[in-house]
Amino acid sequence: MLKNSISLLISLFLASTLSAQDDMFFEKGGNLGGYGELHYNYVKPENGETTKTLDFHRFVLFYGYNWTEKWSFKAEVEIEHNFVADDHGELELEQAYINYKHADWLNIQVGVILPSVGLLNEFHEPPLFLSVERPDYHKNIIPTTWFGNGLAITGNYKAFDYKLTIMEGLNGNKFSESSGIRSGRQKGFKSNAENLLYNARVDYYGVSGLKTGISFTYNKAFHEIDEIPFTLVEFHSTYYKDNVYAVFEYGNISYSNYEIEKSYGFYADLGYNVGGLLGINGELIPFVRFTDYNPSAVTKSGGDAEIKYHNSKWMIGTAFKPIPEVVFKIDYSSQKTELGDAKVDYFNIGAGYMF
Amino acid sequence: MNQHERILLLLLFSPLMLFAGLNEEINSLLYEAYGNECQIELSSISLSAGIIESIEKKCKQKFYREQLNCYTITTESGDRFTALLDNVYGKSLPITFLVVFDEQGTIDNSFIVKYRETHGYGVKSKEWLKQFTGKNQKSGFTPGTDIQGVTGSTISVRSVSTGIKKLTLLYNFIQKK
Repeated sequence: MLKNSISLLISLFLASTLSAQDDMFFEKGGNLGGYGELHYNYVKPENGETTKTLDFHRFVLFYGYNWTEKWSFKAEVEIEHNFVADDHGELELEQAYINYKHADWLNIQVGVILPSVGLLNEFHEPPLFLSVERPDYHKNIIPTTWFGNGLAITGNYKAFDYKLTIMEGLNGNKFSESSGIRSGRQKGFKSNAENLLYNARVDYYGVSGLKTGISFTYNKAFHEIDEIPFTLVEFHSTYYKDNVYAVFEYGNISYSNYEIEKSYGFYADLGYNVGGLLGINGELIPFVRFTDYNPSAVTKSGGDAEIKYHNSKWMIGTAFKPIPEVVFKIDYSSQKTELGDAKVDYFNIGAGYMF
Repeated sequence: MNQHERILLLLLFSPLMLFAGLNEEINSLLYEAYGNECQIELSSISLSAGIIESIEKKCKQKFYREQLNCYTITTESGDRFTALLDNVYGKSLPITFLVVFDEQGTIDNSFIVKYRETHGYGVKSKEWLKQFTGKNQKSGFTPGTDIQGVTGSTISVRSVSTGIKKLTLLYNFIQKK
């Protein structure tokens, strides 16, 4: 009896496995994607020399292969600044992972992966943000693009979407007052796995046009003297409906055993697609942005150290998307640093694509 | 029946279990939308080369296959609807979707039946799909202009919007026949 029951269970398991893997519309094979962006940057400091730069900032190729509807591989290789030699440019393997999709609510990634922190770390193709350069917040508070070796579990249930990541931690020896945790990324290069990093994010998109979410990240960054535990909590939200385009992101990093005790930053975008009003094919989105960030907001020593890297910036600009995958952008911004009231003006023009 | 025969039988029938699975999912969506008492008839439509060429030219998107599943729904009160099942590619995998038309060719409902990608689930949401209800062959389906985008789903939004437009034009051809 027991033997029969076991054999029936095995039979049912085999059958269900086969049927689960056999998708009437699935065809195995590879696929190619990518994005790129060309920038013109004009930088005029109040005191100092004006610079003008023309830079093919990023060229990214994405390759994926689907063996079955459940098992796939995804990879992304990036060249920054068009040329790699000595200290110029970067060649990075930003993603390379095996993916197993058990169901919409359970998907597993193993390899070089991206933690889910903020709106742009995972999805940063040029048509997805309005400014020519990525928002300053995503450089100075969230170290976009943040990638490394590890494992992630993602999924979707009704209007909720989540991601849990366990991956290499950060190198605390490279933390700095000017850019917080940014330089601590190990980027998957023979990573020190002494202290793993834990990241959890949940998003909600049950209201038409709205996507909102929060993430929490914890790691004891390794350090030659004493580990630096830190937590990063961030909130992000986008609203895009009836031609209104609004974005808000806020992030806070709390450190222990370190000169910096707190970093914070936020930015808000408000734009309106006037393409329809002007009878233009595509989206034409004039926008305004306010950014404020301080990687050394609270320090042990206090004083000028807490205002030296406190920057605020107003930006106005326009993004034109003739089709959703191609964008042309122009923006002007004025940045003020609290210490010394130093000002810098920026004027940028860009073109970007994704496929 | 011995153990080996039982395993063989289950292996032979497992693909049928899958088809049943997808159709069960479709039936479940349709019963929820049109009531448990509605009648659903499944048929298959073969697309002629002429129809394929004409619609693909207008939409700039290829049909996934030359044959489509068609579901005729008759509600308890006698109203008739036609649902067409098709696929479009997202970033790398097919998205299976179903569009339900009333007898005038106006979209009454649309559903994502199977989403195989691992992100961009926003296109599955009922809120986003509601935008297509009421559209017909004369309506605009352009993302960003006529259809709201979804953050993180740019490619899926474009694919599904064009796919629904394609079926709306196709329904018009079917009606003429």
